[in-house]
Amino acid sequence: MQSQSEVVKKRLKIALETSVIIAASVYFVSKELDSEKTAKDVHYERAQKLITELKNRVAQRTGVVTRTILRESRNALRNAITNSLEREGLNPQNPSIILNQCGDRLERIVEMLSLEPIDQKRKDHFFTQVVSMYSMLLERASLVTERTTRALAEDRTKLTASPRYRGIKSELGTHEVRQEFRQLYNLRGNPPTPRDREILSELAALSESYSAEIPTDLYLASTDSSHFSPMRFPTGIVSDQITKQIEETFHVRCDWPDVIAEIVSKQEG
Amino acid sequence: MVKSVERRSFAVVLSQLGDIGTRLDGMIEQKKLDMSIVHPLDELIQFSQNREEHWKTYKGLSTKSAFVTYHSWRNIRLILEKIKSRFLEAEIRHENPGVAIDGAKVLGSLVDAYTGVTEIEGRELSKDEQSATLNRITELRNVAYSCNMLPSIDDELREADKEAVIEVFDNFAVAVRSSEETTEDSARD
Repeated sequence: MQSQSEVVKKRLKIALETSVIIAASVYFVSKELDSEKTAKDVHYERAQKLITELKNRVAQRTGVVTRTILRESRNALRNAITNSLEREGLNPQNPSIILNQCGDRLERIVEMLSLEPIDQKRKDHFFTQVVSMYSMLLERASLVTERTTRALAEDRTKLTASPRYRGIKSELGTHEVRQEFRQLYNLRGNPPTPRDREILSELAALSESYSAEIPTDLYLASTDSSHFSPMRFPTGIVSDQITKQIEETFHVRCDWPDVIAEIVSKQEG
Repeated sequence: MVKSVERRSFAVVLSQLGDIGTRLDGMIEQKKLDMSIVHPLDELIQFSQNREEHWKTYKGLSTKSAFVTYHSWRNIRLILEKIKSRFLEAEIRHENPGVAIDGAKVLGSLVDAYTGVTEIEGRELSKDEQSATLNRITELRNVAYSCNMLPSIDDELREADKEAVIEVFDNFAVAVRSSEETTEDSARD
């Protein structure tokens, strides 16, 4: 019988998506500026938690990034600044300061991540699979309608509630079913961009190459719950049809940065 | 095109940068600080500041193109000022010319940033040109960081209204967040 110490421990690799890199950069600058409003924003704190964990694991090369994500992150930050410039009026000094500071933070974050090479042929191979996967998910999403949602809720109610309370239970059930399938439902109005597909195909190629070396768990930290990370409602309901499909097809686990930070912190060494 | 402010020829400014490079090399070879470098640095700082001020208020280009040009000149000026202040500090502390080695390392990226901004100055920029120009500034700041020649956030805030910067920053952070919340509810407990 295999002893516990002989059980192969999987290597952990965490890829950071653009949204997380930018959120963490903004968080660190908010601290330096003493901007209480942004520093206390939970969205930014979540990203910071993961960066702090990865900072302790630079030697293990746990945090990774691809060239596409790096390029995308720099461009997204710059676009956000230049867009704010158009909102704020013509004085460019303050946006220039913010671009410098957030840009510097972004560079420091990227410095502690491993920039991974991607096999272009494998990426192209996976790209077609990514396109097929999202097409299939969009087809499934087209089945999530008000009628099917109600029908499913009523079916469940029949099994669990007495006839007297079925009306109320059914309304409640419809709300729950809507939340349960929200990720899939939202895909219809917000299909993946070419960039989302490219990032996923790169990560699929990366997951394949990692696993060819040693058993590896590859996570993608993202705050994008439309295409990658699961939607978690305060009710406890999780909508993760896309997330699960990505894991099943490409062996990439997508989740929010603070959730992944917990996983990293629990792993020894 | 720009006529209202001083426009030195590309070659003159490049030659001034070359002169600074020669002085830095001399200091490294002789292992001795030469404070005569401050004067040419001052000249370039003044020149960059004039360019920066011009683009700060220029309305003949799209906001984005003018901003990229302004931001480039501003960073060139900030880093030249940092080099100068490092020399002044080194003289006071009687330090060895490590500052000259750092300055020489940064100078190459400064020349790249300068040639980059003069190539695009005064015209509408494509997205690729904006990106390439800002990449040069990122590279300049990365090299300056590694040589301890990067102006701190306090250096930058000293010439601005901090409260106004925070206000713009908070608005920017809200915009970044809402652009990521692509769904009607991002659904995090």
